[in-house]
Amino acid sequence: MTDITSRGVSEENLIALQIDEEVEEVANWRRNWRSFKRNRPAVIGLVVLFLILAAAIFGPMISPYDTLTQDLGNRLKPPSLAHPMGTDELGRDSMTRILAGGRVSLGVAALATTVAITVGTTIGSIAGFYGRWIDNVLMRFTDLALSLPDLFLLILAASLLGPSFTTMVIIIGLVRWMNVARLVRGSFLTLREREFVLSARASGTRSRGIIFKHLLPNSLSPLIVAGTLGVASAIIAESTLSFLGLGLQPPASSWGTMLRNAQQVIFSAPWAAVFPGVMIFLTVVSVNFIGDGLRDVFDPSGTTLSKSRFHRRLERLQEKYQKPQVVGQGNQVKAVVPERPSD
Amino acid sequence: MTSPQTQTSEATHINDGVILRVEDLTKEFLVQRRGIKRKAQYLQAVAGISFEVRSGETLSLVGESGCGKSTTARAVLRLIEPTSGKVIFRMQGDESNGATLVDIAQASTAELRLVRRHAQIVFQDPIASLNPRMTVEAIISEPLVAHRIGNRKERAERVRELLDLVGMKSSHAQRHPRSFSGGQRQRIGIARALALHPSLIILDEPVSALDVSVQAQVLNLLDDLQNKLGLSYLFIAHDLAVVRHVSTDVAVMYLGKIVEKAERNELFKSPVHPYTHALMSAVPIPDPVIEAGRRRIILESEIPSAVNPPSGCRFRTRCPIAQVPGPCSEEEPELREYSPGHMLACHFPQPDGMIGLTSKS
Repeated sequence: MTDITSRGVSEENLIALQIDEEVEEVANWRRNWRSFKRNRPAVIGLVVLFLILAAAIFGPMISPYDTLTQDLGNRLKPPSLAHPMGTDELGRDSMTRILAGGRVSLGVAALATTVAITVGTTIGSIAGFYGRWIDNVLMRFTDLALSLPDLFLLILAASLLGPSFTTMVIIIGLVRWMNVARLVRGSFLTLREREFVLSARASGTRSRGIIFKHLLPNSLSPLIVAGTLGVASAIIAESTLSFLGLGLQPPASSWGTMLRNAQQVIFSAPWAAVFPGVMIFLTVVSVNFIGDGLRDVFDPSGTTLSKSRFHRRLERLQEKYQKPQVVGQGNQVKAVVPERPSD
Repeated sequence: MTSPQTQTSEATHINDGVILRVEDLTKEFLVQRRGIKRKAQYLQAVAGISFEVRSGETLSLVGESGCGKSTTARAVLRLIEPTSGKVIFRMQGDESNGATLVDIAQASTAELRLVRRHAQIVFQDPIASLNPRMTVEAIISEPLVAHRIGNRKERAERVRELLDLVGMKSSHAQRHPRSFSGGQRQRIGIARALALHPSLIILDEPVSALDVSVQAQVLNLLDDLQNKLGLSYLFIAHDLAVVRHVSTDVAVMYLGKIVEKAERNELFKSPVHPYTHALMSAVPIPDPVIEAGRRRIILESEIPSAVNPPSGCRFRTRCPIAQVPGPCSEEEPELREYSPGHMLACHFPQPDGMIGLTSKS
């Protein structure tokens, strides 16, 4: 087993192999969790995101300050014990407003992503399942939507519909569905020809059953990844809109509106801009790390172990079981333990 | 249940005891050449083949990869649309109405659903043919769910029965395909095919992906099931040893055409077509003495493209005895009766074997 020339050994293959041998039946999510845990940035991202979420949900409730009560004697105070993130131009506690604003930013992002996934999945499923001219029409439409600059669309839609929480969710959702549609379509196109789908068709399963029982569940992994990464881009989209004054209107706050308000005092009170900025940054980075981690878990060809790590694992497995064999070539290489004779 | 008008208008005759009659079936795939000069080309995967499967018997289609065996299997069940031809299937009715004949190639969606209760398919790759996200129970009961048969409890009961029938434990029902070996997975696939009490099963290379030791077990299982349930099989394979074991009749395919067809023993004892000879000579004989004295007919080059099949006889480019230029390149040999029950498409039949012609070893 020394002539392993490719590095294309996926972590999932090895883990699947280990677990298949060690335990007869392990639930899918447990195997995925193990694989996710190996990815340190993703785990840190998950923890940070969890903290931000918890703070945004519970922070405003326990904070001694109100988000709207002004205290004009305490305008633009730098961070202190009483106001850990300082105060804004109307003397309101920035930390409380940031946490409350987080509810808006994260809420818009989550809901907008839901909209994007719903629209994208519907369009992608129809295109991928029916194919032919339907596919052509829908995909050209998707290309068209992709070719329009989203910022332009966002601004246009926001100024036409008027700023509100709901319109932001809808418009951000409607400029972010294209990638999901392409992803789902591609996945459907490959799955459609798979033998288990043919079998289902041969057993008389109707189109609806094939889509919901076979195609969608097997397209779930890329969807989860796309959804997670989509949340990050939706947060940025929301901040952009709010920064441009097309988001929520004062006195309500989101991270983007706070940035907008802070730009007038950026030199005299930089903390007013720094803290919302840091929150956006932390959230987006965490979400992206989680998304990458999920991608690695779900996409076996994406994760490649380094050669030495692969070797070490292979050796460990060789000691433990009968010799695993390396089969395939190029990026398709995987380690396979010979089938047990118990048939 | 609805009883659709299944008798298609044209004369769909079928002899007694025949369950499936395929007439002049063709399947062309559109191959588009990309670029500025777009040119639509057609790949003729199945080029007009006819055969019959008799009730309770097994017809094998043999040939090398790319000859259109699997396409035939799929076109027969209309998992892909046949380009032309008839696929007449005798559908077992219930007590009220007797058997009806359906042309699967022309059947409506409703008829097709009905057909699929009676004709099922088992695929080659036992990994790809089971949805990895479903439990064994969900997989096997899928046909029952699709046809709304029984309630949850009855279906679970039927799944246990089927698992038992294919030699697996009922405790396996809650597991996922991942935790089974290749042979076991193929058994699950067979159980699924049996769920609706079909009369015909199309076996698309059901053992090609399995270890030899497991192959035998699965073949024996198929044999038992055929005897027990009176099934008819259309067996697609490339392994002659397997074919010899399971078949009643054998049809040899080359590049989308049937070149020779006969009863199993007849074909194996006295093959006539040069291609059949070549296939047979490739099967090793488990006797070193005989094996050492044997000469192999080694076919030169690859199977030609089905986009531009050779003129005349499709096998002539690789045939050791082809007369080119001559009849082989000018006239396409028709499949006709060579001796009673033995069909052949060749200008130069080779009843006495081909050893010594151009064989190399």
